[in-house]
Amino acid sequence: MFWLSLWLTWSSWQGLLINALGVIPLIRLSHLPVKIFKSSLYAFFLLSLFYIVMSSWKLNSNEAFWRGYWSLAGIGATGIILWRIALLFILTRLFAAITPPMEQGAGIAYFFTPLIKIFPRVADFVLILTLTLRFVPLLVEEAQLLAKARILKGAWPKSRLQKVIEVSRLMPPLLLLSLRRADELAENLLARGYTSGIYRSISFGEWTCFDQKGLIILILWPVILWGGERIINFF
Amino acid sequence: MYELHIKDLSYKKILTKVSFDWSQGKKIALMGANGSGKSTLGRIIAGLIEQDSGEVTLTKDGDGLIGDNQPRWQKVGFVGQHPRRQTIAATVAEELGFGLLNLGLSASEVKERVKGLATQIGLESRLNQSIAKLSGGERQRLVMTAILALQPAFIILDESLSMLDLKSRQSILDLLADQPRLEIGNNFDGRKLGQLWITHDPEIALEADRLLIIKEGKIVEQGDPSHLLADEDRCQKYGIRGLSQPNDQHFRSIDTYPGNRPMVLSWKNAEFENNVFLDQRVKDKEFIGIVGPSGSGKTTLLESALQLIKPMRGSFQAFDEVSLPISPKQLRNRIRLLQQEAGEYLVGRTVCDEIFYTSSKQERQRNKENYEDYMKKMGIPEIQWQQDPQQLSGGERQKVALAAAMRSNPGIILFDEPLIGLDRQGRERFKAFLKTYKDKYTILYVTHDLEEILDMVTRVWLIEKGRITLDYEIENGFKERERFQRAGVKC
Repeated sequence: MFWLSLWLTWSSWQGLLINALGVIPLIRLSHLPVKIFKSSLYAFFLLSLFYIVMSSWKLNSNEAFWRGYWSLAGIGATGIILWRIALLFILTRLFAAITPPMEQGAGIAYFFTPLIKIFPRVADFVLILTLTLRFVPLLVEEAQLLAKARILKGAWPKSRLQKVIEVSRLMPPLLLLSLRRADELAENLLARGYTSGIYRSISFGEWTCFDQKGLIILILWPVILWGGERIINFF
Repeated sequence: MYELHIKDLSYKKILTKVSFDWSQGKKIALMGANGSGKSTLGRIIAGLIEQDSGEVTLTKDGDGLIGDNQPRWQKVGFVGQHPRRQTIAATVAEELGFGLLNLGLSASEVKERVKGLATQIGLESRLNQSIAKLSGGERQRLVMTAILALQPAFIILDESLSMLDLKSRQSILDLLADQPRLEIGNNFDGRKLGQLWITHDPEIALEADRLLIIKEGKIVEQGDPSHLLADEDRCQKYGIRGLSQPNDQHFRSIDTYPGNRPMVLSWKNAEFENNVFLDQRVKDKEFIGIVGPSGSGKTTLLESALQLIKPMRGSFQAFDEVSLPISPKQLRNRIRLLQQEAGEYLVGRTVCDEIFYTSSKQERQRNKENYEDYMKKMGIPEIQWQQDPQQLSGGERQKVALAAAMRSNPGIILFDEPLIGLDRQGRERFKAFLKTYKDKYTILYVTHDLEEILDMVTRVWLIEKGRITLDYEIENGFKERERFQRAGVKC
């Protein structure tokens, strides 16, 4: 993700086009329905409005806002920014959808493990990060059970104000439950011999031919981008 | 041989001067009422919490104290109750390897051991699978193996078997019995584990070498389990369940249920997302026991009756929905569910608020007397009405949850393992409630232990792999006991 994002920020419109074309096979490989990106659309729409106004609407100094004008160069720059943001949103959503939180934690731990030998405190940082991610599904499950308990008590209110009040009433028991679960998690770690500063992680995943191809494409990606940009410019 | 000497342990107001000795290879059962201090004692012995006074001493071959260089977790393993809340890793392999890494073993050694351990519990092909995809029994087995991999001399099971069906329970006990086979390292001395079973189940306790009974934080009796559990007066005195006789003679006769009673629940070729298929009918005032292995679809069945989940194909119909469609809101007023661990998910700020959650302040003021009468009728003492439900014991919270569920005077009540974690008093109170109301309501009751309700049910459904494989109407006897036992049902 970091690697791809880096190249997104450095790319011109030609590079963004190649990146966008590269995202299509990734979506196809993930076998995810396109509708999962729907939730990001609203955030993207709000960000777009902000960038359009900030970058495309030009005004001279000491002039009122409404005396400004739409700049063609500004619109072009906004388009590029929004294109990058859209690709980042898609890649992030894709990553989150195909990688469960606990596996994201395992990934983070794996990348940080070499650093632990140099700075032992990194172990605690990694553990906190991974535990936070491990805690997400547990907390979601508890929240669902609590919500179910609430639904079983009677109908959910229709007015927005009442809904806010209802949700706020559920917050203290949820907090209490999450503290209990955190305590249990800490006990489980203790029972497996975890003490501060000794966190280690190993990968049990088998390195497959598919992984190898993916890694080669990832390493070659900057070259593909660079070459692609040149070819598009040539034409 | 390792030995644990527990001497004068005290902790807050929960434990007072608890003392006993425990040798490697010995099985001890610890029983006591809810809130008697069983779990706290287990946690202190495992080193998860620090006692206020007293000491836990680990010795080897009668002398040589084990000091700080051999931390207690390494010699005393601890496994809790809920399979879902025991795991700490993303995958099966990581779960098995986490403790081994903490032991300081090299990555290659950990990988080799993890493969060996996974093979022994039949999970070798699922090493990289998410733990969330395992059943409750498989998860508990995985956690147990991860703890056993650390080569402890003792293990404490805090109600670890209570949420499992009979087959899963037996597989865990087999795993503990075969523990030496799990050892791959060279340092194991071949002796069997010392096991401490914290339990409410007398049948489990009966398997132990010694039974400890704890009451209000003090060990009040210890000795031979068969002797102690046979004494009904003693068991009643300490709030623990004794060895009861099978209740074959007291089945309800089907003759008392005329055939023309209306159908109240009906699944017609209903297929749900998690491969659960239902084609069943329930008549008014029937009491149906639903049994089957963990993960077979029992909870799905209950939730579908409340339309919390809807069938992908086929249909579900409640009451006379064809002539008069019922909204989910109306349906949930007429059908009530007492969730698994209902006492854990109370949302009200006070007991009164929990029971009358949806009533407004004005409504509560107007119906004050009725509401108070209702709480009294449900056995909730006045002192608790304005108390935070979280301050109550497990049994009391369960009672509050039951009162909240019954408040709308439903026609159908669904129970999902309501007796889990309850002591003798809690169970007796709940069973007395069932006996009083069994003829007034239609009841669907999910359990792993058919003995809980065998004298009350009119019909039993055995559900396996998402299908009801046996719909058994009880008539003057229970002739299919073996069939149910084969499926892992306690009866």
